[in-house]
Amino acid sequence: MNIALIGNPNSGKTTLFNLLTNSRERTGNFNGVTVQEKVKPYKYDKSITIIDLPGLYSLNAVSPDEKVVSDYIKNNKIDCIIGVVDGLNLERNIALIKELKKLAIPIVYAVNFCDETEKKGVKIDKNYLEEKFNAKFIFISARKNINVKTLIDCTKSAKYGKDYDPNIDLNRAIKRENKISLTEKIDKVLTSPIIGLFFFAAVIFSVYFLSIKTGGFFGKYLDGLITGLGENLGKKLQNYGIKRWFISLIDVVIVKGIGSVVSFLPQIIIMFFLLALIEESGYMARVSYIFERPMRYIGLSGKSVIPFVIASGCNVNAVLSTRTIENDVERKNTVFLAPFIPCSAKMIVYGWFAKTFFNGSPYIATLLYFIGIIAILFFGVILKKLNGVKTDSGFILEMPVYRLPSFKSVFFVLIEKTKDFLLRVGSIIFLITFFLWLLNSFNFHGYTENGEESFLYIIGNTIKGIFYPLGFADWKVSVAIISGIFAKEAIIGALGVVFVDSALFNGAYSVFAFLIFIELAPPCIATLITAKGELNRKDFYFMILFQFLSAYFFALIINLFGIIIKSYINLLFYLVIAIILILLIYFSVKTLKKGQCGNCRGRNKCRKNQCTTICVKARRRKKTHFFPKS
Amino acid sequence: MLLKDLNKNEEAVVKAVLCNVAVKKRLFNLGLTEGVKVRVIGFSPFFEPVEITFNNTFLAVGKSIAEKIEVE
Repeated sequence: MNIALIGNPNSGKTTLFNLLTNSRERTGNFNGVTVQEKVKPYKYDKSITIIDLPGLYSLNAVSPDEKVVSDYIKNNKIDCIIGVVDGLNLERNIALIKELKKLAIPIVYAVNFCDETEKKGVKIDKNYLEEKFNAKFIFISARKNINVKTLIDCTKSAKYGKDYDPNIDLNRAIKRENKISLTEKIDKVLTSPIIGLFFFAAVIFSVYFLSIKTGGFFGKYLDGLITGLGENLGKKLQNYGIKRWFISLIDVVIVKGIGSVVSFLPQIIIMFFLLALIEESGYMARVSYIFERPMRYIGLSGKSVIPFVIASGCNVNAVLSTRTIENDVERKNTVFLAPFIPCSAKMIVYGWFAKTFFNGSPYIATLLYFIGIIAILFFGVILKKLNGVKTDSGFILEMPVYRLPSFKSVFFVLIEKTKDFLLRVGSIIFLITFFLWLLNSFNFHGYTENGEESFLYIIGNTIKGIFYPLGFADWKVSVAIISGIFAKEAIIGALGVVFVDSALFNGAYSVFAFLIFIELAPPCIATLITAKGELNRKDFYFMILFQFLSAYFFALIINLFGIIIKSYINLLFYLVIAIILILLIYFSVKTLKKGQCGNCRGRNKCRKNQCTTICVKARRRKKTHFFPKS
Repeated sequence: MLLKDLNKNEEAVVKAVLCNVAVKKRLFNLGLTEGVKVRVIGFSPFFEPVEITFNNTFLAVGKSIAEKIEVE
């Protein structure tokens, strides 16, 4: 038996799903936490399958996440629907309740938040609704586990009631006391012109600063512990007369590679804890409300801010969460730009570099975060020019009611993230580090301790030419960049395998150029695979090229400035490269921009909405567009 | 009068929604239709969108939509 959970966004579908199936799916208080269907068996009866679907306002899909629902209903057999209804806001839910009734599938309505409705003076006339809709309405609380078992029992006996009366007298169905709600009071402060902006800056800064500072504090002890253990183990093994290559394996792969990544676990946990607090509170929607105007200026939507905030946790989730954006161009640009925000894996790399080269300053990572924002603004403008037509899809966003983060779901996030992180370290990071060690320790003659004779040296030396203009003249750096493709944490692993000394980079500016390159370079392979599913083939390859070039461009500029400041000797050489590069970018932008006319999209070779003829294809495209100019 | 002309804290009743069909449908599903009493909570620090409340729902709408909703 298949039971699907369908309802408005933020009505608590995933919370109910977690309760029913004993899982720990991500919940949150903003539109678009769930963007994929999730299927799992009911915890007490495995013959019942529960399906969690993204939230939606209407079955007529507008955005890709809503399309997931309508496609799922069309293509799969559903025996019963649980219509999850926000009990605090029945008026808004009524439209969807009616639409669900039209599907001719047995349905039971779960009126959620029944513990809060009484407190807030909301009275719902259950009998009236049941009589009108000819279906069961059950008052539940997914958070407090009230009546949930009854709900499932009801679905077993649910039948499709054909007769129902769509004319509902809302005043009779729901009675509420008129009070100015807390949400309104909070919103007046948090979205006011000056306080609103400062509050946002403070929130983002504290997420980064707190997680790096306190995470670094605990991480130091963890690091000391791992190094100490590793040294002792190394000595013991030597005493037992174990082969030298095996000791090197333990020392390099386990202690220097994996150990230095694991020591950042506290930082990751604190960061995800703080992000979960923001996501659960309902502040996310306010962020996109505040930044709608400036985002539209760079060709994105206010809704793009949500993926950007999520990206500071993980880029895979960020790319998925772009599904709530209705407009295709805005969505595409958001997918391109979201990886510029450093994710938690990149934060580990920054933390390691700050520790090794900058005395553990927490400002390095925070600074790089703000550079990420600047990069988004800068490349957003370029993308807007490349993609031509200015779009205004009409911003509509429901602002969820503020809620105190529930202890349980925040706790779930922490457990899941710790598990994920350790699994990642144990599998992919370990494999890459091990593989790098293999390449670094062996050559055609067998085991070697001299890295300059190894396979890795041959590989690194061949590709280092690509990165030479950026100032990464050492083969080890190229190896690190390449291993970063698989997972960003592997960069530390790679630099732990090869011997790191201060001569690796030309100076502080070169380290910084490297960090910028890592920040802007195409994301890890997991994000790329996700992005491939979200974009068409052409856009996907464009994205990789675009991100690589932007990383190259920024790193080159920083390297050039560094060199200019340091010495004038090589200036001429780099100046020539810079001029060539700038000319190249200028001409490529110009040729791509040419013919991007709003009417004919370049078919008539005119610029900027001059042509009067609209070709058939363009007209058809405009018709299917969500928000055509009226 | 249009929705975008309302000041902060001002209340009004929606007279007509003049947006295109898709947007109108979306607003309808959110509960914003003719006859609904709305109150303006405030404007974003960058002057738009406007945040309004009706029937315990909080909604942010962009300027391009706010200027197509007639209120009185």
